[in-house]
Amino acid sequence: MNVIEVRNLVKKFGDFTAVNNISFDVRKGEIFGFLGANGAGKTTAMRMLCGLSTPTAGEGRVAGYDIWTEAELIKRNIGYMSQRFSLYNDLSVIDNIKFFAGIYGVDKTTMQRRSNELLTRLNLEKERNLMVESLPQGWKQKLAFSIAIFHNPQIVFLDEPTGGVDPETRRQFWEMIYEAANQGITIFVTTHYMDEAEYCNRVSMMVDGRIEALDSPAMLKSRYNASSMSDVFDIIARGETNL
Amino acid sequence: MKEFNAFIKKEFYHIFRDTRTLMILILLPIILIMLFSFAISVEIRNVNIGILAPTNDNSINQLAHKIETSEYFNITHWLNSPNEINDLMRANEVDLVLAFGDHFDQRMLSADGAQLGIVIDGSNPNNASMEMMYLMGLLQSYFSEKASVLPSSAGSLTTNVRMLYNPQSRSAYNFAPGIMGLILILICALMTSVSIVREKEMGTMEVLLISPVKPIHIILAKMIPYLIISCFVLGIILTLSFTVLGIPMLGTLHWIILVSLVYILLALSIGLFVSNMVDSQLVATLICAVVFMMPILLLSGMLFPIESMPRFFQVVSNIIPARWYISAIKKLMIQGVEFQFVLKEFTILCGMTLLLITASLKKFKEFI
Amino acid sequence: MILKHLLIKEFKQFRVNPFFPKLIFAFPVMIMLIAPLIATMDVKRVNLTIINHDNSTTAEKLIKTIEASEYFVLQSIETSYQKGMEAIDYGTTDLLLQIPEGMERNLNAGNPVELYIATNSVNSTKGSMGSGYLGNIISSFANDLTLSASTIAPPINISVQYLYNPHLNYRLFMVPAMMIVVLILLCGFLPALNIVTEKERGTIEQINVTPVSRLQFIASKLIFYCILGILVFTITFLLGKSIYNIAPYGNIHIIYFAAILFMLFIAGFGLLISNFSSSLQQAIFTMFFFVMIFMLLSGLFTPITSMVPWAQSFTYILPPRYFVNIMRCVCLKGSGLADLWFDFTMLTIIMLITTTIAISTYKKQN
Repeated sequence: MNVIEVRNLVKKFGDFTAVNNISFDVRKGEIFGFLGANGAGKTTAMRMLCGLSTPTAGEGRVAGYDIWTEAELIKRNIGYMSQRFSLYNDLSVIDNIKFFAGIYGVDKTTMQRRSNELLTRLNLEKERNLMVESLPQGWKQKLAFSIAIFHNPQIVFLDEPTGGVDPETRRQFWEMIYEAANQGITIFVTTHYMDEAEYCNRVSMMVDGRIEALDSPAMLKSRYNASSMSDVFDIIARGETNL
Repeated sequence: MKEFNAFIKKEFYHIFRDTRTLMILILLPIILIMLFSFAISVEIRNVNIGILAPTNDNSINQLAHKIETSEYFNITHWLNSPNEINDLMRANEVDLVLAFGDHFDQRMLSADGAQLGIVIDGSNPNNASMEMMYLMGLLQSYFSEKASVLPSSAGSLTTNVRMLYNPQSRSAYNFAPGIMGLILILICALMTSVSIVREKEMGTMEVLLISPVKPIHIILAKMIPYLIISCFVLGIILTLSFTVLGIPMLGTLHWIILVSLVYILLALSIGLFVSNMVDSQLVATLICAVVFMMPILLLSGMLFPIESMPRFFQVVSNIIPARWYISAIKKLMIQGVEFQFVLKEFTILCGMTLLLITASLKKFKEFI
Repeated sequence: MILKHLLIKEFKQFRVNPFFPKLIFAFPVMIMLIAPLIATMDVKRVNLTIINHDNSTTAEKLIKTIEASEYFVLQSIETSYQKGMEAIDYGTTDLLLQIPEGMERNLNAGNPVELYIATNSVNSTKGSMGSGYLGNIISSFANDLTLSASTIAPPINISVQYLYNPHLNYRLFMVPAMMIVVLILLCGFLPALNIVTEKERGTIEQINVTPVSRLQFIASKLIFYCILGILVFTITFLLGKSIYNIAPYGNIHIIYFAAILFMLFIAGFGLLISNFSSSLQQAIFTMFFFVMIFMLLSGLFTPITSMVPWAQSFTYILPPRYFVNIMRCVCLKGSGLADLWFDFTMLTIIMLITTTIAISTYKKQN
């Protein structure tokens, strides 16, 4: 079953075509990696799927809803965490949880139970009343991710979630992603770290607004006869594709 | 020096990229000075008068005619009963009611005399006293015409009033320098403080500070583009004042420009000073726009005469730079005096500028 | 439900801000303590210089009479007009009175005498009021002189009554105005900075991918600033009452009703500007521009009726105009809804238009 279906999606900013006629499907429960260099159009494509930006042309359905006409319904069923840090710095840890749980309509008892679980898991019980501003970057990102999936969305969109953190924290972060995927949440993640692509079930490679390749990491490596995803990307980015 | 130029270029680049802010910076003074100089006035006009005359007397009609033809008053209502006064005033229909007594003409010749009650809406005391003054003048001249048939043994004493510098009593003469003083200081202080605090907030200030450029150059590079823009704005304001507003340029232009330049520098250093005190753009803007605006509006003498304030605030008003600037500009522009007459204002403005620049540089060094 | 969470968020963010809570208490207090004392257009203590060319007892008597009046502060008595003009140029005096040579002699001989008054009328109010008062003093002085020589003027008994403000106390006039100024500044600038701050910090993105609708989002902010406004308004109201003893003559509910309409307008307007701004600097400059217009063209300081006709027509689109009028009429004259129906209707209409635009121009998608 597909939770995301995209057909011929286009986004233009004036003369510049940021997303050029892309089509793909994302299956329920998979970890879908959206790879590409900076400026390849990953974030723009993702923003259209989240209902943050209207497409120039093309069709798309997210969680069963049309991105043109049902953007607000999509928003009820997704979680989102952006590369620009997305919690309220001037609210405490617990206030951020309460706030986002509240606007997604999570009821009070569920909220209390799950927020305690969350704080225990992240080892943040002592910091619950601390301003988010004072947390280290890695903790902030883990907290932001936990909040993005707090309301049990069908899909969670992660825009460069591991930017600017150390390798150890990145590893922990990916553990959290796997855990969420095991609970049945579809993960849609953009990144420019090629090693992270190995963790995904399937990846798409974007170059200059187009999807140049889409398959599982193992298949891509064998097709391009490369030892790592980084090599795969280099080959594709140089334009030596023969899809 | 090369790095310094690069810095200035960077600042200009920042300013010109945000075209909307630039437009506002230039249009705001133009629109405000036009709007206010044309629109704001404290001269009363179109005072609505109600007349309550129980009997139809000749002198009442004569007086009504005199009132109707005066430049300040319109007769809008003829009342039938004193009870109407309150209702009309509550709804702002009339400002002033003349309530004549019974048989006015007849009683005027009697020993007891005629009765005339004047009821004024006192809610705006300034208007009320001006209305009263003009009305009294009108009544006096009317009744003295009536009395002039009678001979007098003593010589009469009259006055001849000359309104110096502003014979048509145009409020623009007073407000244009005031608006200039207000706008220049608020805009300059706002621009500088925001641009410096933004660098602090985004962390780029640290980057600048570890670069080989001297800290004093960083500050200068921040101030110079705004100094240039402010001078441009000043040029526009002065041109508008002389051409569109018709404010006479009696003084020598270079003195006006010199005083304004010192004032602009002062405003920029206020911005610098604020930016050293605070860490967020939000607070910097609120301090410059909200907290500074009121003292300038209230204490600069632009709206409210300084002599009428309580002594304490007269003393406090001395620390408001706009007070000195407005006073100097009025004298130079409108009265057309020599520079020596504004030496006091000029010295005070220079002193304030030096003081602020020294204080903020000291503070800036502590920050490093 | 969502609204409640959005509101709680606004309150918490406001409370932890190191500056805002201080601002909304300190600013009204500062303004209410100071502004009404300063804001007076009464013309008092006008500096006067007399140029006396007539060395006589009548001239001395006249000078004494003028000195005794509270309107004038006699700066100096000069003997040349030149000296007097210099004093005007230095700004030490505003008004010159020249007493001509032989005034007493001519008066006694029954000849007309003309005194010469020159006033620095760059500030035209001061000029005309000052010379007006001086003229009145001189003519009553002249009356006293001629009275002894017995002239019969027609007897008119004039009684003057100043309604609503019998002592022409300027504070009665300015305190309601200052309450409005505080509202314009706080409920105007804070919302203008609000959304743009979320934009600069990036949190707006996070809100935009949630199911929060734009109505809910803007409404939560409107309600928040309205509550803040009521708090601020009440502070200024209580200060006005306790310090200046200014109790509204009319119905207090009408005042609060108008105040809430106005707060919704000004907060909506601030949010509207915030919607259209991409940086704090843009938002603050745009708001500053409008605040200047609101403060100076709505009759707060200078009367609307004194403006030129086109400016008077322009003020009809400025909601502060209506609120200023309502406040003054209710506080001073005790006017009711029936007297002020036009102001209330206009205020409501413009408020609704502004808030609707604020809601509809908020973009969740671009």
